[in-house]
Amino acid sequence: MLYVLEDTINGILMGSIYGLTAMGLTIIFGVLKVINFAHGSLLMVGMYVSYWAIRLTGVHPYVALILVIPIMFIFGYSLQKIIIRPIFIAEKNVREPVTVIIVTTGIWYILDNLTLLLFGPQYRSLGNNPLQGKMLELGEMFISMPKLYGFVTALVTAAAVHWFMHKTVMGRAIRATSMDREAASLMGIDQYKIYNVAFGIGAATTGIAAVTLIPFYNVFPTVGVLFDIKGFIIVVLGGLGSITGALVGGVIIGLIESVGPQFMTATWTEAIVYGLFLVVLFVKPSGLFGQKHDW
Amino acid sequence: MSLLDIHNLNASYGDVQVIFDLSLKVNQGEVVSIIGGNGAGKSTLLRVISGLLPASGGQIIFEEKEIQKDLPENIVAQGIVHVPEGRRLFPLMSVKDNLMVGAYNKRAREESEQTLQEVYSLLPRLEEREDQLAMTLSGGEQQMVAIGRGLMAKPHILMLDEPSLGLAPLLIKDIFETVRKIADQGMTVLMVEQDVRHSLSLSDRGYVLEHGRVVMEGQADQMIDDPHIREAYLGM
Repeated sequence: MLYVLEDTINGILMGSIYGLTAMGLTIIFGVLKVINFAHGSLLMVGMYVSYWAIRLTGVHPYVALILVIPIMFIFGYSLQKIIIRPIFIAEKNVREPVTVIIVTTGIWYILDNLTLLLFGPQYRSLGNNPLQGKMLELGEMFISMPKLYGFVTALVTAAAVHWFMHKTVMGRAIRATSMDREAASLMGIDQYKIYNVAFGIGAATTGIAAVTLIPFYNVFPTVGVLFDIKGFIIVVLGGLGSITGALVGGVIIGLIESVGPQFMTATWTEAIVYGLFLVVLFVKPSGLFGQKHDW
Repeated sequence: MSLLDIHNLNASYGDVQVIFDLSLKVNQGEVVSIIGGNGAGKSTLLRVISGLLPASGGQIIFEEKEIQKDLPENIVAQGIVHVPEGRRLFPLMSVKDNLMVGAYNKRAREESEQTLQEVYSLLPRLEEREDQLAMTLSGGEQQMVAIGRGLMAKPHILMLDEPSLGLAPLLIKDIFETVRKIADQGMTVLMVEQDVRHSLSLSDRGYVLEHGRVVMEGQADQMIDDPHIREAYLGM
C-alpha cells in the first residue's frame, strides 16, 4: 500500500514536470493556432542552455533560471519574428496557415541537427550538483528531491503565467488576439508582435521546464522527441490552449506511468496513455479544460 | 477640410469588386448614416477605412493625412475606431477586460481609468456586469460593450457597423438612444445601418449605397421624406 502512495506522489511530481514541458506548446497554440512541431527542440535547446549555464558558472541549478528565462524568451521571440512571421504574412489570406506547421517541422530538424553538429551525439549529465540523488524521507517513503523542486516550479510558473495573462496590458492583448485576432487588430493590437511575445513566453516556460529536468535527466540532441509526443498528448488531454489543462494532463500521464507498473507490466502503461488519449478525443475532443468556442 | 474625406475609393474581395469610385466625407461633429440593402458594400466600406481590407484605388484622407495604406492597428492609433458588425467581443474575457483592451493604443492607455468611468456613467449596465464573461451577456448588452469598447479607444471618429443588428425593437431604441447621447457629447459618428428610419432620424447627413456606389446623398431629414427611400427602404 505504501508503495502505491509513494508512486502516486512521485507520479504527481514527475507529471507536473511533464505538464510544465507542455505549457509552452499550449500557450503557443492558444495564441498562434499553430501546433509547434519544434516544441521538443525548444526544450532540447533549453536543456543545453541550462546545462552550460550551470556548468560554466557552477551555480545551483535553479539559480541558472536567471539566465535561462531571458535567453529562451529572446530565442523564442526571434524564432517567431525572423522565421515564422514571414510565413504568416505570406499566408495572410489563408484561413488555416498549414505552411507554418511545416515550417516548425523544419525548425525541429534544423535545431536537432545543428545541436548534433555542435555538441555531438553523446549524452551529457550535469553530474555533481546539489540536487543529485537527493531524497526526501517521509516515514518509510522516498520522494525525489529534484522532482519536488520541479513540482513547486511548475505550480509557480503556471500561477505566474496566469497572473500575467489576466492582470497586465500585454497579457490581456495576448488573450484578445487568441480569441479574435481581427477584432484585436481593431483595438490597435499588432497581431505579429503578440505572436512574437507569445512565442517568447512559450519558449521561456519551456526553458524553466528544462531547468527542472536537468538535475536528473541527460541532455542529448534528440532528447526533445521524448517529450514532444508526451507534450502533444498532454495538451490534447488537458485542452489545447489551457494552462491548467496542461498541468492536469501532465499529472494524469505521470500517474499512469508511475502507479501503473505496480499493477501490470511497465510497457502496458504506454498503451493506457494512448488509450486514454483516444477516449478523450472521442468523448470530449476539446479536452478536459478546453473551450468549445471557436469564434 | 473634412475630418474624413474619401475620394474615388475602389475595393475588391479577390476578383470581385465590391466598391466602385466611392466618394464620401464626414465633418467634425457630424453623425453620418450609410444606408443600403444587403451586399451594397456598407460593411466593406468600413473595413477598408479601418484597414482590414486594402483599398485597390482611391484615397482615404483622415485629419489631412492619407491613411489608405496604413495597418489597422495604426489607424486605430490615429483615432478611427471601428465597432464591427456582430459585436466581435472577446467571449472568454470579462466585460471590464473587454473594455480595457479597447484602450490598448498608447493615446488611450494613459487615460484608460478615467475613460472607463466615463463609459460606465454612459452605460451603467456595464459597471454592474463588469466581472461577467462577455459570452454570457444578452445581445443588447453585448452591443453596449462593443460600443463602450470602441469609446475606450478615444476615437476622433466612431464607426458603427449595424449596431441594431439582431436586436429586439425595445433594445434597438436603447442602442440608438445611446448613439444619440454619444453624438450629443460631440463625437463624430459614421454609422452603417439597415434600420433606416432610426438611423436617419438621429443623423445629420446620409448616403445611400447600392452595388458599391453612392446613389444618393443629402441631409438626413430630407432623405427621410424622399420618395425613393420611402419606397425602397422604409416600405411605404
